[in-house]
Amino acid sequence: CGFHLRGTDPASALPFTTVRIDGEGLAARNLRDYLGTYKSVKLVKSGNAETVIRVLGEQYSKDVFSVNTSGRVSEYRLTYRLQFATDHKSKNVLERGEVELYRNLSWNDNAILSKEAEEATLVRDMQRDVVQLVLRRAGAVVKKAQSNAP
Amino acid sequence: EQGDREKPMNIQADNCNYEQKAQRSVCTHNVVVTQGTMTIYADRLVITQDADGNQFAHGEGKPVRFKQRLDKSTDWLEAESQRFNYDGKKGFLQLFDKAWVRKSQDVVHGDHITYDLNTELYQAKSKPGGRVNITIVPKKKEAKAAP
Amino acid sequence: NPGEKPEPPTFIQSDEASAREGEFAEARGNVVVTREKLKVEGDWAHYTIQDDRLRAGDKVTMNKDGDVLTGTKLDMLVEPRKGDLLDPTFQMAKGAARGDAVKLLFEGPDRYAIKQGRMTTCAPGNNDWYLHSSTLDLDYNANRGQAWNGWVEFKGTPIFYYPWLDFSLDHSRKSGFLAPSLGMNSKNGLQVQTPYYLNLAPNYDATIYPRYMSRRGMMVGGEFRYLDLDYTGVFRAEGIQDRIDDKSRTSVLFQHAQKINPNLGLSLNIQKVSDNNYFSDFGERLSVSSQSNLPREGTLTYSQETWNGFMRWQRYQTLSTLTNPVDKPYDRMPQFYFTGQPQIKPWLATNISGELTDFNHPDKISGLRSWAYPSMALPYNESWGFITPKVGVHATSYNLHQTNAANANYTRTLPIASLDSGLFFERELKIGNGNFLQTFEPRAYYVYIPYRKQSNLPIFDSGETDLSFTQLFSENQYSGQDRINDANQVTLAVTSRLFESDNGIERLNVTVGQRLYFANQRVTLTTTENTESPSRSDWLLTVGARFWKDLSANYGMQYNQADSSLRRSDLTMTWRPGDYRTLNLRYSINRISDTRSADISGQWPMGNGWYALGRYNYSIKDSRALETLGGVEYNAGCWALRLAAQRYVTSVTDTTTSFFALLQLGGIAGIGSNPLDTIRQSIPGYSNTYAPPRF
Repeated sequence: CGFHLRGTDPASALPFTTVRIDGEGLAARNLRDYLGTYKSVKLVKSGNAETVIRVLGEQYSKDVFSVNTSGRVSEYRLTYRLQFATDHKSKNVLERGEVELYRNLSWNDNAILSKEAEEATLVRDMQRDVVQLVLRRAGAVVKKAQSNAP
Repeated sequence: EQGDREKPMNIQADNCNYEQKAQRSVCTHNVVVTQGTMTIYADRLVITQDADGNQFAHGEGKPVRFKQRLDKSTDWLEAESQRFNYDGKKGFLQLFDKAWVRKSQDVVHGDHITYDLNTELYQAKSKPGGRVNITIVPKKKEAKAAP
Repeated sequence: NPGEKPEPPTFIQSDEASAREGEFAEARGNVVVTREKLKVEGDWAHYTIQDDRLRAGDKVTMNKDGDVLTGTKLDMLVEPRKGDLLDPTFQMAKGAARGDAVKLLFEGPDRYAIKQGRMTTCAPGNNDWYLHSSTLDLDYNANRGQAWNGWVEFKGTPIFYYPWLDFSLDHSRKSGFLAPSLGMNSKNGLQVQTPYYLNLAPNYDATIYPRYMSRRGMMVGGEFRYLDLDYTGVFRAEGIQDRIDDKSRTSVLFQHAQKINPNLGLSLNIQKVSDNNYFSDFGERLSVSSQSNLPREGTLTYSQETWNGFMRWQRYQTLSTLTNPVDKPYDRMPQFYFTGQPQIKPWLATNISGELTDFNHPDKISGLRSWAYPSMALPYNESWGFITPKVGVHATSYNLHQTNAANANYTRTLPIASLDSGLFFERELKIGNGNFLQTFEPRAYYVYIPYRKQSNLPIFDSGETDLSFTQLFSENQYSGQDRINDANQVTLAVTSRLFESDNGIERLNVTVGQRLYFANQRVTLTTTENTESPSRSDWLLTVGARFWKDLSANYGMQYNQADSSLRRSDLTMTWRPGDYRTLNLRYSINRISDTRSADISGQWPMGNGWYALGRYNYSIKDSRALETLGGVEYNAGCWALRLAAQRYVTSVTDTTTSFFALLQLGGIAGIGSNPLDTIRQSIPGYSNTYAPPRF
């Protein structure tokens, strides 16, 4: 059916050998942790790298998603957004990419401490999921820049 | 200045002739009239005099130029027009067609300007479609009275 | 004074003129007087040079920098711009303010005082509203307008009188009245709110919002906000002598966030209300009125590359009412938490987290709990997949205060081992004329945690978590630390994603998965343990799709194989094709919480300035509308009208119905936060149809 392991053919591996992640926050750290243990790419802590992914900002919002018949919140929708830019060979190839993720959290006013703990795990999980999506986006625009370059 | 009109008037020109019958003299080409601080340059000038000795003149030029020193200040009055009438009796100077009068930096343009030499008041009118233009430049304020 | 700019010359043009040098000039017939950018035209003009005074008459038009004033008689000192104009009309370029009056006084450059006049910001020819005033002061240097005792006329009828009104002329952050709003509410009766904004300084401001309620009386509220380089905060207080309950009711909120230094942060979040029904009575917004626990916490956070942690004092005011009983949560006074990733070896991911908390509760067992959870993982990441073995030890100790006996001490120590592994398969795909990349990502996650007796331990912060892929791929199904499930289980899941090849944007993701239990799970939240538990979890399916930039859909399903029943099914769709156009649809069935509801909301332009908006959140199981909102907005360019009616549930038997009317006169009242923010809360993607006109 045409599926092959990613990376076995050069086209689909990450198109850079050295990478640097700029920016603070848990998402930036997750990107660094993942790439740090990624065999075929060298993570550069500081100094220049072939590709730089700059985390511009992350936002988290918690909105009432549904209410029960006694007018109490029964569900929140947790939205996490991350904006990042990508430079390749010190030329900007992606000015402002955004990744958005959702999680629904059922709510129970009687167990607020445990629900807050669950909320924290959901947010941390989104900050891990965002790593693959950011690398996918960065990889695609770098590949495109390489194919356009002479 | 005020006293100019009592001063003798002399006229120079390339040629002047006196018409006894009409009691007037007509001068043409490079006519220069001087009377006290007032000087008039014109191409053609007609001078008449009434029984009381008041002089009247009218003339043309391309343009007629008129200059006179003002009483109260060191500034000069200058004027130009295509034609002019001078009435010594009433002390009126009338300038016609593309006329303008300038005193220090204030200028009045118009088709027909009447300048009262006694009151230094001038009236400017424009032909239909024409316009009168006045420019007033405020004087440097002399030291104002100390507050 | 030396270096004074030479005064500009004055030019007078007319059909006729008479002048005396140095004294005056009088012109008649189509007079045009100009000085720099000022131009005055009239039938006649008289200019006296000494005092720089210009009089003009019968039909005067004055023009400067786009401001156009007309009148019957002008008498003005030109340079100082002092004087008056009779029977004036005015049209200001800046702020589009125009109008007419009995008299206009020039009070210096760009300052006008307009007597017995009326003003509007509508374009000429559109006389929809006028602000009448006995005195209207327009100061275009300070960009501030003030009006004294007059009335607002809307479409010919006076709608409200005012003693004094001030507003900004260039819509910058200027002190002034915000748009007043009128409303009707089934609990509070007629409501009139006239917020006043005070721009105290570039980095702090305040808003006072008196709010009159016909059935309860006058509530006065105030909000003070401050913002600085490394701290920001808001203080809000409201109070009313409530006629119905005949007592004073207040609410206070104080939030402060500060970065003490790059690593240390402080945050305070203190909220308090005088009684439990405060929000359901006064909360205008559903999200506010449905709040049951108000936090009172102070947190000191420390964060740095390797170590993070916080020290927190946290209590809650619980708004428990007869119709809505709510359990009071434990106070955590204090709570100390830390987590760190010390790097011993680059290929070894070590992590240690721990917490020490003093839990207190008036009628539940209280005590000290401390836990630590060091762990090591060996993440092996390749482009084709990953393998991550992880081992750790979770140790917890309790020091519980017994009312009658000595303190009871319990400890619990258990190893936790997990193996996470996954593969990434890909293939190119051509759909239509787009190149896509489809992935196929199988993942297996095994967890082993031995059984430990925990039914004698208190429940401080543990609870049931929703079945989600986050939970399926975590070690402990219970949130918090009081219960750690015994586990010998594996989670199997497959994810397939569709990416656009040239930009890597994910267009579709589908994940399906389930957890298989190799042993019986005995640990529960209650004191009785499970004797036998299911051998497999429910199936879980999630779908996320973003077809085009403006149409996205999410679907989540939880299916129980044993009794082949649908536990949860949740579909949400959002369509945002453009400005002011949004449509949200949601249908959800949840057998666990026994709810079934449909929720539709949207905003749509109806053409020539009209916008409709609405929300209908209907609980099919209880056949009862949880929230209904309908509204129309009309944007006429120089004014906007918003009408909204909302009904939402405040308890099993009780609902609150409220109507809002908000007339925003362009330029007159700044657009501040107003009760209609409820629309923004209720309709995701709602965009304000009347942003203040840009000058």
